[in-house]
Amino acid sequence: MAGVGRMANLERVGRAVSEPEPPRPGRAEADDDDELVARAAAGDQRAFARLVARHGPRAQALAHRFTGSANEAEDIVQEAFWRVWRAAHNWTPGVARFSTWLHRIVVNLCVDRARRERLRRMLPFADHFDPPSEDPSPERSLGDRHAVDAVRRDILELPARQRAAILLAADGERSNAEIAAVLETTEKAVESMLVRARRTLRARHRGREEA
Amino acid sequence: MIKGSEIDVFADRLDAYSPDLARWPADRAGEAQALLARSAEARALQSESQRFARLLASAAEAPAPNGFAFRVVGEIAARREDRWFRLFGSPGRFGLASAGLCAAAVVIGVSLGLATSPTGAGYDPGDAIDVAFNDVDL
Repeated sequence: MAGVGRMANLERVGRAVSEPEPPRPGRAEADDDDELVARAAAGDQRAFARLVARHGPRAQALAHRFTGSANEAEDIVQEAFWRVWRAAHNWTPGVARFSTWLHRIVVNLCVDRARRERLRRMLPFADHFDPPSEDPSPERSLGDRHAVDAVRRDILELPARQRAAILLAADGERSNAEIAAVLETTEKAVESMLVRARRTLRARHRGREEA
Repeated sequence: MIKGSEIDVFADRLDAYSPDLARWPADRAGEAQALLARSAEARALQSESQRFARLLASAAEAPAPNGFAFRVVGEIAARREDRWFRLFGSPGRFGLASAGLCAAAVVIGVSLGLATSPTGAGYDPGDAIDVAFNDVDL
């Protein structure tokens, strides 16, 4: 029943961001996304595949760094695109960006999963059944890689909403307004989350450098 | 002379908006430009914030695994083909399936009601209907 409720919630997502977004260089791509979503809603699988190819990698990166696991992230992104496919007919073009909608679904799934993980950890012997997954790091110099890996671990320890906010902000391509739309909150709340997250992460990073 | 509080506010805003002043609200970006022009401490703060932002950006990167998009599209196609989804999941068919189930439930319910009705045993429901709907005091 909760799934049905969530589905209904997701289906209105495309219309939930009432404020028009500022024009940006990517607007043409957003218009194209609208067309692809409309075609996908009509059953065009090629259009859907193009949406996956265009937006999947970024959604995967977001989920990967949120969960700390590439496999979990792929499950989440698959589920997110499944929901997109099923709710595509409810999408209202020109109101919000498709990426905002997709990332909102991804973040909600990540937060749900984090909540279940917290509950799971309360169970006795839980780690024996499901040990944490390994995450090989990309190529970098050893020092950089250590610093980056350490920051990734710190990110995983942030509260879920702060974690989502900092990951959405990290590539510098989303405005705080867009992050607020993804997280379904206000810009002020996003600013507050970002301030807390950046301070926490920087303090830990400094602590390691001084040690 | 730069007030300490001005630097504190600037540091807060660096964390709230990022060290890229293009992402700041225009009025605050103007104030920040002015502060940066006259304060070495502000410039050092921004420089440190930029270094940390680059580290964060690296930490947030994650290359998509090989064949990722192909697997996602394949998984969605497989789910679509699932027979339960074909019956209940497709938005277009969901209404039809639900309506069919409801109609079947009503027919079964009425049939069961008629089949098990006590009227066959000489029971007359007329009095009960009068009490229930017409508020007749028998």
